[in-house]
Amino acid sequence: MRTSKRMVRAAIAGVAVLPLVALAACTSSGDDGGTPEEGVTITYAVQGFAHEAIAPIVQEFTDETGITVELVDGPASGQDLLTQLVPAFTSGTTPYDVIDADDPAVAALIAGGWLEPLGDEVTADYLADLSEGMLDSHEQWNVVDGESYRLYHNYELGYYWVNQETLDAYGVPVPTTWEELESAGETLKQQGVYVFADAAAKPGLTFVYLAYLAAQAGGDIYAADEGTRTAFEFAKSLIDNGYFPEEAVTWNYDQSNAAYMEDTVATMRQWTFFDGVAQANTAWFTPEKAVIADPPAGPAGSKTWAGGWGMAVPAAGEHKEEAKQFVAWMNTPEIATRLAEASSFFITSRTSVLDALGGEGIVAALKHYSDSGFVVPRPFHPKAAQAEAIVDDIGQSYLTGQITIDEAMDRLKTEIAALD
Amino acid sequence: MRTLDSRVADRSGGAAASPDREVPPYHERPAPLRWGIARLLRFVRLPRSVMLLALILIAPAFILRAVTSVYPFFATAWTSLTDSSAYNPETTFIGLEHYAAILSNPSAVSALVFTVVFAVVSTLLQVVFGFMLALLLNTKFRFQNAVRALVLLPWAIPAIVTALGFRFMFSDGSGIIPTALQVFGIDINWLADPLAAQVAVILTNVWRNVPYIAFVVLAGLQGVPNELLEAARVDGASRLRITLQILVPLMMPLLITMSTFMVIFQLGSFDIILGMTGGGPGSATQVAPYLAYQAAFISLDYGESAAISMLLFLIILAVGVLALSRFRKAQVDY
Repeated sequence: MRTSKRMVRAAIAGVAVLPLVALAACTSSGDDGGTPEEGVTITYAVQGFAHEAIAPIVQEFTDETGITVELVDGPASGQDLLTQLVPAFTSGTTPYDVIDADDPAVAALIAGGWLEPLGDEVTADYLADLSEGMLDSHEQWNVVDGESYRLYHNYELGYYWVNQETLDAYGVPVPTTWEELESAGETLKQQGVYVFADAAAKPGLTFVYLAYLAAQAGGDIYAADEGTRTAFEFAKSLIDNGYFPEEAVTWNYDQSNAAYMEDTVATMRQWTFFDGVAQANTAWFTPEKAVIADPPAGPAGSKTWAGGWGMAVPAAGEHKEEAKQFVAWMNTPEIATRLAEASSFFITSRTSVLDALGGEGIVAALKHYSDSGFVVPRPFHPKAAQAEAIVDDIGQSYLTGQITIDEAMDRLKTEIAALD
Repeated sequence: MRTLDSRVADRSGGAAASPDREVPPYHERPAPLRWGIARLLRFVRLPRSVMLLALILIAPAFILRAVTSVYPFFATAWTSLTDSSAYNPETTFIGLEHYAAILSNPSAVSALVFTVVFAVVSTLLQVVFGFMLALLLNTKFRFQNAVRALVLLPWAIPAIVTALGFRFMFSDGSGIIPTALQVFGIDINWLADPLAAQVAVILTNVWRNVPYIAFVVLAGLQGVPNELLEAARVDGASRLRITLQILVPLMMPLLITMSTFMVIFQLGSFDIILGMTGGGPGSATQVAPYLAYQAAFISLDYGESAAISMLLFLIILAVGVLALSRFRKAQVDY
């Protein structure tokens, strides 16, 4: 009996101590509070490929203000961003002081109340420097109730890339309208070449492609209106007639770039980054193989939509004032221009950038598209991430023949309306 | 003979707990379940100190299980009955609205159906091919160990890497699989055709998990007494007959157990599908776990995500119950 009581006491002691040991092990080592450091360190999460180019410029901010900025690898897509950050934000924490967010992600983050309003001190110089199209995009995506929550540092257009050498080889002029695209497609099909392609895989890329055509058809893709219907039917006809590869509904950007650079596709819609990809392929590249032409005109003219990434400050951050100071500094006209020179990921259609760099290269194309009125804002929805996923599903189902156009439009209308 | 209860009575100061009973030899004692029931119904008594000790010793495991399994389960069930989302600062009870919305959405129902099809068909093929591979590996041949190591390789590769690799292999125009099939006049656009995409993800999943099944079955085969097989051979049984009428019945409990685990595991996984098709084309290869992920992290609708998870749980529960009933019928004594 004594032995049993001893064992019971020992067991109680052991069970009581174990959780305490576990808690002690889990306790964080604590913040820098105990170790005084010169200045504050903030983290800026931006895509890894941009770090090397912008690090020297970021260092100048540190030299000026004493605030150290640690560049960390940020998510490469809005979905990854939400997946990684929403759990932290809902628990009132954030791993980063400044984040890079794309349009659908920022819509969700603003709606969730997880971003800090930047204030007039941060946005004044920036707003005065925006071109008209970019200002429209900013007000649509970054502003709620008069407060700005994000500043674009990257403003991407879907350019119409043309392999002039391929077209010249088969005597086909550069298509300037949908009808010319179809006509060129018929000619090139005989040679085993697709006239046009775009990556249209899920998640996200089907929406990008269909929204591009919807802009040219004058449609509001979330309204499933006549313009949207026209765009969907045109996309399907390109596939059915053999002008657009059927397998492109499974392509990511690497695959569409590969098909273009293998000369099996004569023209494609692609973002700014293809400029660097094409030139890096020295065995293939000549300037005539990667020409940016005006987008083919649909019923509503030559159009392309613009979107981008921008800097925002999480509301749960510990160093919000320092973070906002950094965002303001990075978006002054002088620094914005230098960042655009350093990395194409920081090219925007800000007046200062276009004036300084708009004479050549990709920025010249950006200036031409902006000045010609080709640019429309990315289709907006307060629940953009979810809405784009709906367009992905329905768009792909229609393009692969699983549903009819009427079913597609009905479902699109119903499912988008259900988001409200 | 001193009985269990008399020894207990001595320790508790002489009070007899119950009438003396013979303590049977160990191998004749009642099964733990029956003993446990008898204990609950108080036919068997233990001293209070022993009871207390037992409770204290199992408490950490019980608490850990409660915190990591029981509480999240009930929290998820409750969340599925509310309109919890990132857009709602205050959640309200909405009953079965999420369930009604999911079950009336053709895409969601299609995803639930394909989830079961994906898991069941994958498991069937994995078990069949895994068993065949195990039989091959169970024979003696040169470089047996090296071959066994190589066979395990597909399972060792991370699923997402496998998915991306097969995505390119199935890619129309440049993928090795459609290119090879075109030599035989077979032209399939694997990832753009809905049915072909479903087959492609299942085949990839089977390729990845067959080695695992094979090695588990191999361990079971090596436990089969040689005398049985020798006796069968002496009686003139062919290899096929030995396999079908001796090995398969003996392996059946193991196969059913493994099948159950694999079905349950695959009902909850979507890494292959995420990497290969993203649920497309359209929603042809969409599965319930991916829907739940999208609902939680893209739509930020936690209630809907929880409801999908609960529906998945019900499917898994049905699978588990069915498997358990089959397991008992398949037990073989020899």
